[in-house]
Amino acid sequence: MAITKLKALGVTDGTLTNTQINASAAIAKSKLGALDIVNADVNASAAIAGSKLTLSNDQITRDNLDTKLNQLEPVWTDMVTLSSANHTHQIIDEYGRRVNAQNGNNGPSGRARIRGETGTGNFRVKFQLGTLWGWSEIHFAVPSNYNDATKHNGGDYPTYHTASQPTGKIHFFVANNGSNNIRYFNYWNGSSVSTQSTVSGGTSNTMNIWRSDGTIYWYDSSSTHTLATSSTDNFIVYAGLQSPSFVRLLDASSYAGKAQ
Amino acid sequence: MSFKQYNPAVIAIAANTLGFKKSVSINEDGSLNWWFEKDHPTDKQMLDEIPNAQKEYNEKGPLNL
Repeated sequence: MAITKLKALGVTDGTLTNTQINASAAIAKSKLGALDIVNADVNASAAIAGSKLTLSNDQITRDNLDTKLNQLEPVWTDMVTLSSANHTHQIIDEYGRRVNAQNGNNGPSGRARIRGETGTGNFRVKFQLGTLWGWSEIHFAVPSNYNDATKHNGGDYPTYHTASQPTGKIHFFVANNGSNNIRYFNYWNGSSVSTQSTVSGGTSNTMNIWRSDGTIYWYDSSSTHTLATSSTDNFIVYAGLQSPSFVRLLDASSYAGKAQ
Repeated sequence: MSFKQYNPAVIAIAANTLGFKKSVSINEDGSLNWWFEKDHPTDKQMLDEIPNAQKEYNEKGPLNL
């Protein structure tokens, strides 16, 4: 029975129900017992202030970072040494702009990546490849196919792809040398090499790789090749060096929403 | 045939001695990668040449061309 009027006798314990409390009733928190608010009680659109959160480092993932914080920067990082290279060998020079291994054929070498990631939108990388005996390579791998030297303790291929042809994942690269005297690109679409082109004549002239509105292009210093369309993958960019070789970075940027 | 146990610089010296002046490397499965070239030494020729190449490497280090 609905309560219409309280008399001096009061309300018997246990007779008030939820429906009898007015929707606009401002019940003080002090009148409530111990709350047990769980995640499901928080509305999906609740604007919880950052000051109310305390995150540990491992809860801050790549996807949670503002893409601007992780955009490409024209500097090599995560360098590792290979093929018996030691402290006497310098792999990164020119104030962080070039990775370089000129220590004889198949001699001591290394690898490094460009700081940041391309993001899923437009990006541009401008570079020069060595025209020497060994292959000078610049690779693009999705993060899940990238072997991060800072997270893995060595292994055969740190600062490199885990697989050159990963199932269901994009991987592509451009390579150039002087002994075969060619430059070429190879685009793996997740199940097959969808595009590959070999251009006669190695060159250390300026090349570009960029994505504009979902289309990835390679300018080989004389003509432009379309590597892929409808591309929305985020890539890590890194260099492969077969001594002697080098990759000189001229600029790099990722800027979604702006033509590159 | 796997060449994984050999120093890549020794492989380069052996190939060069056998007349192959272009890039050669060792694939992840241990086979030799001659890249786009069809005319190259055979695995047998390379294996036969490796002892000499290793000796040259020990004396002079990687080939500098």
